[in-house]
Amino acid sequence: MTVVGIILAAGAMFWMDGLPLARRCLWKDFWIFLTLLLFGVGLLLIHALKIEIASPVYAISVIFKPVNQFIRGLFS
Amino acid sequence: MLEEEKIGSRQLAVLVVMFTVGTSMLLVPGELAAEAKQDAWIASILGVGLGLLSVLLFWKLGDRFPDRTAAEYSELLLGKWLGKAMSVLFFSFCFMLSAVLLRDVGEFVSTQVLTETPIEFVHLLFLLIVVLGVRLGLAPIGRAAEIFFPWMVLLFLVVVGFLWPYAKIENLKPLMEDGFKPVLLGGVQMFTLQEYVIFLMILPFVDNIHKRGSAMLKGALVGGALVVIVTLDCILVLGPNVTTLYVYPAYVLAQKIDIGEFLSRIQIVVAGMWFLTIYFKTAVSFYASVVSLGQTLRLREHRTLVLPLAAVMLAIANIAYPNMTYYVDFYRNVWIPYGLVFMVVPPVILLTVSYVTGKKSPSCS
Amino acid sequence: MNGFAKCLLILLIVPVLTSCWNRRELNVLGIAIAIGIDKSDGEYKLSAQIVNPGEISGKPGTGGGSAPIVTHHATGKTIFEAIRKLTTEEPRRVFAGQTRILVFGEEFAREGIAEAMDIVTREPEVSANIYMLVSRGTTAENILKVLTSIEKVPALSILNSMKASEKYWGSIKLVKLDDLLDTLMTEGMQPALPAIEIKGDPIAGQALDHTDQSDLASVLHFTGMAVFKEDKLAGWLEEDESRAYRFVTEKVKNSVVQIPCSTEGVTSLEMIWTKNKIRGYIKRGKPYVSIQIRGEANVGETQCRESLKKPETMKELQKRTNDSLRRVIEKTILTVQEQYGSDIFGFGAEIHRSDPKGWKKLEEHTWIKEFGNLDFETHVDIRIRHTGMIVDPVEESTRRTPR
Repeated sequence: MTVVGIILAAGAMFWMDGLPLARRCLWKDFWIFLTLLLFGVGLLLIHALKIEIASPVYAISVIFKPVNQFIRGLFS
Repeated sequence: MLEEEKIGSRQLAVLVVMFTVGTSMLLVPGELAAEAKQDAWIASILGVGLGLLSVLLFWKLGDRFPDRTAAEYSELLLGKWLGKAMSVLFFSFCFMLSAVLLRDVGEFVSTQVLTETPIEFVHLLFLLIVVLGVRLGLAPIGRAAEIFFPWMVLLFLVVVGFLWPYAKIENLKPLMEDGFKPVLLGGVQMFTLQEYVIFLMILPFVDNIHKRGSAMLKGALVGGALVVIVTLDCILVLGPNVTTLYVYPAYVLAQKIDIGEFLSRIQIVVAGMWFLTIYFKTAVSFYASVVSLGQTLRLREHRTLVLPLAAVMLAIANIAYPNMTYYVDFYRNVWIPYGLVFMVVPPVILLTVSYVTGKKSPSCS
Repeated sequence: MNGFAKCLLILLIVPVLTSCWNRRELNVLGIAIAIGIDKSDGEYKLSAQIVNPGEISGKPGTGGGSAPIVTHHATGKTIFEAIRKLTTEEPRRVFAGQTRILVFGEEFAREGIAEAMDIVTREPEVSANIYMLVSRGTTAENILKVLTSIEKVPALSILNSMKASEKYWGSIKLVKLDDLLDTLMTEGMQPALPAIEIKGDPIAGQALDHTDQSDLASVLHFTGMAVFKEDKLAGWLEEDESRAYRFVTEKVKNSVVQIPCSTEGVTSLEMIWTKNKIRGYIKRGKPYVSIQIRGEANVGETQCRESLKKPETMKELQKRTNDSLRRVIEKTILTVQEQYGSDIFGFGAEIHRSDPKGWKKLEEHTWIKEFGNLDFETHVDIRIRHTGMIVDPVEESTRRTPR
């Protein structure tokens, strides 16, 4: 049910913003738009299907947790 | 550019106030009380001071390139590859911030108000309005902020005023019990939650070049004062222990308002005020991320990015933090250092390079 | 965006804005206006006083003659389980959003209330602004079952008499949920909650027709404060001790104090205001507290025969007032110190505030143990201002044969 909703929404977004780009032959914009849209919708679909994936913020966590330790170390 | 219209300096000031209050009013009192206990209010004053210093930094940097955003002049200053890397970093910060803010709203509503509603729906609704605002542009957002500003101040005064009878001065004692270090740490934490660096993307859209910096400063001062007052109120009325216990102590504060027998349970009205401030913070951050990505990728029209980025933002807000524990841990241990580094390091680098190489915008005055 | 898309968007959004997910229709809510927690057979027993809306409705003729409230109870290993189980008795979902008071049963309180505090704090439906009570001599369940006249909903009656009691009699100090939390989390302070008991026959009090009489079979009655040690109920303060407790711990706006005369009889003084000032410090490793009570009072009623027109009498009366109050306060503090060893006055917290360094040194011994070593001194300074419409006592002026 939610999956259908997501796909419909994605279609609507494509129709509203993607097609005009194609019509105006702004190909670079179009492909960036499509990539981002597919990426976002893909993630949403994965979430709707309850598939567990690693948190996207994991990368930032990995980099900055040691920084956090360092900063707190300065203060204690 | 997304804009034909520019926003006025007063609108900038109001936006900065909304931005500062944003999620800080919800999160700062609890965070600071956990670090500094009854000195949380001192830490908040320190945080505001640090925030003001950073505004000065951004003012200076913004004045070097009055008609370009940080994403644009990164490339000018650092060359093609480093510059592009820097502008991608800017984008990632603005974007991450927007996603985190969305989650903030969702988490708050899910915890306190709509406890059975799936958080994704709260995200979706809020995001729809953010998208609406950003697609319309910065000027409508600025005007809306101007309209809502007096209401926000009024509600704020109501909260503070009606809680006055419950304040107990002795909750502030003993002063500086554990020394200055916890206060400093708390102040730094609050400073990172202010995230003013976003405005490096917004400054070029403000019409009066000379008034930009002072508008930002005024906004930061007023907004900061509001957060300090709320923190002070939390400690005075609830006490440091209870402030640390609750996730959203300011909401508990609002619950205590009880005038005669007729003005009570207005905490949701106060929450409504927070929805407003969080909205403007999210809208501005999202706008900044759209502009920065658009400029990094040299797109003709930034507007096309709004919807797909919004989809990704929704996904991140839903997925990135599986539960409250993760979310709180993320905020304390990842977002704080991330924000701290980002607020300070890139602008300082950019400013230094700009002075050293003497590069600045040819159209500056 | 063109017109069609806008209309579509609005049409799509509006249904979503009604927040159906979290809807609570009024007629399926059982509004619990008071909740009681007891323990029976090792399990939590939760009682809820649920409002019967038809009976308290303002419109005449909608009442069918049944009780304005109904109490339900359920047991469970955790309080949460008990709450949900309430629905097996009560067809409507128990809604705690309008709960005004929470009563801890005496037996339950003796075992410790900290665990119960968890769900009460965690649950967003329950406001942090509710009042906490302890039932004395009976269970919380029985307290909730007593019907009251004049105010149809007993919980509201309790609320009003609580506030009036605090205001005009001064023997109880109201405690809200967040106050209690703060006290539980503070090292130098122990909780004290108002105690409520049933005067009369608890069973008769549950019958609806008992409110039809002018002389009620059972009445809910506030008797002073309950002393807690950490989170366990330790004992009770009687009325005069509770009043002393209030004088020491907060500013009192209105209260009544009886001062014995030099011969027989008492003078009733109406305290207009009192202010408390506590200073604590550590002297040579020993905790020390100095208490100063200042205030003003009026003469409300006197049985004494001395003429109040003479300044010496007034001075004497003032001195007696100060001495009497001081003695009661000292007696109360000593009783609490020796019998319960629980610092309900917050002296430890005050020492922490005034002398943080000394307090830290004391950390080796926890304050619970250290409280017994506390030395204190009390100063009471009450000024008597007015005497009402007359000065000399009526009895003095009454012409009659001398006794």
